[in-house]
Order: sequence, then C-alpha cells, then structure tokens
Amino acid sequence: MASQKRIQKELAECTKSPPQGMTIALASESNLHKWHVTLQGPPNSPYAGGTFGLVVSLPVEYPFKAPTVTFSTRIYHPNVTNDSQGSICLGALKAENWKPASKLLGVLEAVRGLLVEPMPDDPLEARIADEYKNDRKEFEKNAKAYVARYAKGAPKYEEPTAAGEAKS
Amino acid sequence: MSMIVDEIYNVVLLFSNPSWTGEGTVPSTLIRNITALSLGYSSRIHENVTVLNSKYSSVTNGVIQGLLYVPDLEDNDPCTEALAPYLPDDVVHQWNLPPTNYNLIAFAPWVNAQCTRALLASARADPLRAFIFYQPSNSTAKPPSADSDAWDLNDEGRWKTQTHFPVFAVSGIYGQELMEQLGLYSGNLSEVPYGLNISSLYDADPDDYVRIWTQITCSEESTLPNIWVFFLIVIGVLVAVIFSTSLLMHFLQARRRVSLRRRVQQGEINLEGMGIKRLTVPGAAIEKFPLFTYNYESESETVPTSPTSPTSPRQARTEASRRPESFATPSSPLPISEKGLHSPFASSTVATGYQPMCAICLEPYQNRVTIIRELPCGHIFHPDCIDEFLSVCSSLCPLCKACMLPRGYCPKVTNSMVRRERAIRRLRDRVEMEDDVGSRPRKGRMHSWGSNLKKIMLKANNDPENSSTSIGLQPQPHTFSLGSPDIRRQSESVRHSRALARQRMRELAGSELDEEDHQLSTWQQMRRKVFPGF
Repeated sequence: MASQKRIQKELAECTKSPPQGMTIALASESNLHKWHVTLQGPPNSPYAGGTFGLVVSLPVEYPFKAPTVTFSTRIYHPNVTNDSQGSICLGALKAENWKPASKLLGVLEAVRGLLVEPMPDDPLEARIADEYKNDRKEFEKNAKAYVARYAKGAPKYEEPTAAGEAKS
Repeated sequence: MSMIVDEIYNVVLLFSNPSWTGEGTVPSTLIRNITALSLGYSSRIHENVTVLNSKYSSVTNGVIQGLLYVPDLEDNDPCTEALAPYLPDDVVHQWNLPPTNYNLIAFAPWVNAQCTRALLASARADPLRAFIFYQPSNSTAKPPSADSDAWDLNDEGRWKTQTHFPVFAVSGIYGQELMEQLGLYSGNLSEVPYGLNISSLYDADPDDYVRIWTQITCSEESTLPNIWVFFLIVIGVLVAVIFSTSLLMHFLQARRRVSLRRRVQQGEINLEGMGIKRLTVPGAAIEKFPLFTYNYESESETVPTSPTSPTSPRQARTEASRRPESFATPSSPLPISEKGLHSPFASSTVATGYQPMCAICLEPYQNRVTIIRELPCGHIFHPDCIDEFLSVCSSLCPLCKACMLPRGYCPKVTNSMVRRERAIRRLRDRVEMEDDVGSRPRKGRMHSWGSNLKKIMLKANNDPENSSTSIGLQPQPHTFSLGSPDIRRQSESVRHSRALARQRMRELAGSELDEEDHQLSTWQQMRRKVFPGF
C-alpha cells in the first residue's frame, strides 16, 4: 500500500534526523499509524527541562487526511487544551489546510515551534492566552509549575491513545 | 353590544296543583316535563327573532324562562275586543296559571300601538321575565328590526325605557301557532291534549296544571368580530407575511446561487480553496491531465537549485500520453501554462522546479521509467496517487492548492455554500477595510465611509475637544482581537493578522468543510428551509 510505504519513509526520515529534542517511536511495532514522540522542552522556553509525550495518529487515508497530534503530558500552553486530551491547535493540521505534500517532520517542527513561541491570537485556552499576552511573568511561572508537576520523568501515553484510536 | 336570541324553546310542563293537598299546606312544586314523553307540544326556533328591547334584562347572557300567558286587560278596555280575533277563547291568562309566584313570559299579538301600550302596562304589574310579540300575519320572515316604524308606539320610543323586561318579536306564522297551542294548554287535565295519558301515567290530580313553559336563550352580540375570526385573520396575515417573505428569500437565494455558479464557472471563485465546500474532480477531467515519462536531463543538474529560471527546463518530458494532442517534445521549453486548462497559472507560478519524488507517496521517480501525471499548475505525481487524491479527496493540487476543476465546471450550488461564500466575502471586505484604514486612511472606500461615520459619532460623544482633528487618521480598532500590533515588525504583523483573519473567516463562515447542516437542530434546519437567506 502506498500509504504504508509513505509512512515508513516518513518514519525513517523522522527517526534518522528527528527535530531537535525529539525521539520518535511506534506505539507498537505492528501499527504504523500510531507514533509516540518524546519531546524535550526547548531550552529557551518556560518548558525547558520537561519531557513531554506526543501521540501522532495517522488516519487510514493518510496522507490524504491530516494526522492528529496530541499531548499526552499535561502542558500549560495557550494552544493546547488544558485537559487530559491535550489537543493542539495547529494550522497545518486543520482539515482545510492539510495537503498530502505536508510531512510529519514539518508538523513535529511546528509543534516544537509552538512551545518556543505560542500563538496567543489563535488560542484554545483563552485564559492562558490572555495571561501570556498581558502577564508574561505569571504565565511562565504557571508553565514551569506544570512542567515540575507533570513533565518530569518518562512520559506516559495512555489516555490520549484511546481518543486517537477513536478518531482514526 | 346588543342582545341576540339564540333559541326560543317551548315545552309543556305538568305542575301539581297545591290546592288539592288541603288548606294551609305549603304550595308544592311538583313539575314534570310532559314534552319529554312526547305527550305534549314543543317547539324550538333559532332564528327570525327580533329583540325589540333588551334594557333592564337581568339576564343578558343566559336563559330567560317562565310560564307563557297572555296579559289581562281592563274589562272595559276597547283593546279586549280588538285583540279577541287573534286570541283563542280559552287562551292562558294569569288566572289560569298555578298560584305560586312563577316567572312569567307574556305573549300577545302586536295589533296596534294603543293595545300594545295597554298590554305592556298590564304586564309591568306581573312578575314578568320577558314579553314576546308577533304581528298577526302569515309571514315566516324575521320581524322588522327594533328601530323600524312597525314598533312605534307614538311615544318617541319611551316605552322601551319604561319597560324593565326584554321584549322580543317572532314571525307571524310562528306567533299564531304558539297562540293556538297556548289556547290548548289552559284548562285542567281533562281538557289538555293527552290529558288522560298524562293523568294515568303520573297519577295526577285532575286539578293539576299543564302549561307551556318558555325558555329564551340569549347571548350578547359583540360588535367586534368573533374572537375566532379575529384569530384566524391574525394567523392568516402572519402566514401570508411569512409566505411572501419566504418566497422573496427563495427568489433572492436562487439569484445568489446563479451568481455564485457563474463566478465559479468563470474561475473567479475557488470553492474549496476558500473553505466553502470540499470538492472532487470528475474522472474524465483527471484523465485529461497529460501523462509523461519522467525524464530528468543530466546537463541541467548543474543548476538544480534555481527554480526561477524558466529558460532551462530541469525537467523535460517525453510524450507518453494516450492523447496525441498534448504535444510536448523533450526539447521544448514550452511554458506549461499554454497547455494548462486554467489561465490563472501564470508562467511564474508554473516554475515548479526540481521534483524528484511524488509528494504523495514520497517515492522518487525513476528517470525514463516512471510515468507521471502533470497537473495544470506544473506539479507532477504518480498517476495512481494523484488520481485517487483528486477523485476522492480534494480538487486542489496537493502542493500548491491550485484548483484543478475544469473550466466551466461547477458542482451543485447549495444555499449553505452561498451563505458561506457571502460570509467569507463580507469578512474579507472587513479585513481589507481595516487594512485600508490602518495604512492609507483617506482612500474614500465605500466601506470605510460607514466606519468613519461611526467614528465621528463616537468622537462627538466621547471626545468633544478633539473633534476638529482629522477623522480618518487614527487607526481603526481591530475587530478581530489580533493583539497589540508591534511597531518593530509591523509588516510582519500585518501579514500575520491577515492570515489569522483568513483563518478566522473560515471558522466563522462555517465550522467544517464537509459537515454542512447536519449538526443543526431540526428547528434550525426548518428555519433555513423557509428563510434560506437568513
């Protein structure tokens, strides 16, 4: 299948030269459609020192349909829902923006970029976005508190896995 | 408001005569309805009753009832003689009625003014509930109305104010019939019709009374139309308004659909690119995109990273098409736009550069082996990959998102598509207007005129000392909360804000591309059906 081949290629590419601070693995060897990504908080961000789990779910129609990327580790961020779902608001992943030529490597880079520079003008968590815009100190304090509380040690992937499965 | 008579109902009742129970006994009122056993006269009329006087009637809405009788006149009254031809010999007079104080209803022919005055005068002394007149004639028609000259007593209508009971008039033929019956039911049991049957059935005393009892059912006639009629009118008007509005909206919407269709066919609007509707390309149109054998010439490898030089084609094509009319020779530097189906792809956008692999499956092409399909925008893919994508997923090029629909092709235009397109256009106008006002304020655009007006008003309200300064020069407050613009990276922020605004447009114009009205409630769907432009 073309889709399998493509995913394999992308996986190889991503594991060979992953974006900075990321390690990529399959959730299970038999299933190419679910990736587990470990993301080290970028050093120049309030998330430095944290280890975040990302779950990438590739739909059967991939690359025609966009993948879904979710945080399995709680994170204090304007563009990530502050719940166990950890949904990310990423323009490239929206149905109308996705194109088959987009690659997962780019998507993962974009997620990392979002940690370095959040986009408070297009927030999922309006309160956090306001805080980010108006009270940066408080935002960083909260983000660091979340890192200390949730993002220490090896990331877990359980909860969003179920949600991702239902979607794909 | 005036009184109307719904019904006059006459029955025959049997009254036990209190006199036979002996002296000093309390008058008993044993009453039986003889008519119920069809042993007596009964009649009902519902129409042709004129109300001559409704004043002082204690019952305007309900039943007036009493024993029917003909009022007595003075012995020497000349009217006794005048009335005699119309009255049966033994017609019921007051002395023929049970002695107890029953309600009475008087009944008499209207012979002339003098006699009527005499009858009314006599009746006023009795416990009367109503007076029924008839004009002796064979007419079955409704008697003349109350203000007619026929009811003139030569006292300028004063009799009506003096009379403290309602007065009715019935038709001549009915009056005569009732008067005849009143003659029959005047004597004791041995004299009335079915007297023997009645007395054997009820074991009645021969002195008991069998008399006609009259019930007059009245109601008030409102000058306003009936409440139901009123409701019906209101509902009718509402329905008419809704219907005409709906018709108008449907008409408008149909025109908008036609207009949108025309613009789509002319290639002005990219439905999918705008996020209005997910489309796919018809198979026949996909087949028309040319097929080539991938051929990558080695001498051009020397300049592989300058995609903008159009004269050195990095990628030449050998004809492998099944369609002989697409003639591209390996050496031809023919700009692809000439073969393209859509003119919007100017040669600059067609400079697609080095495409070593299929963007869909990421598989590299093999030189002179792989068959590729080229889209009008110049991007090439495996036919399998791109055919599936265009026929199942989308009508846009996976790389540049250009529209691949054939010219003049338009899918079925639905109301929701029109709605989204309009919403997006409005938002875009607004964004452009804001950009305009922000950068060059006095451009005199139609749209900014309104906002300037608003600003003038705002200024007049808030800021009177500053009102003389130029109105348009202040930057417009952004409608989309795009944050405080950073002056250092203003151009970037403008671009950023525009991208954001576009994104927001999509969100506002409609949530998802594919799901249209399915998530609406039944009520909303119905509303959209009736008022499509709403």
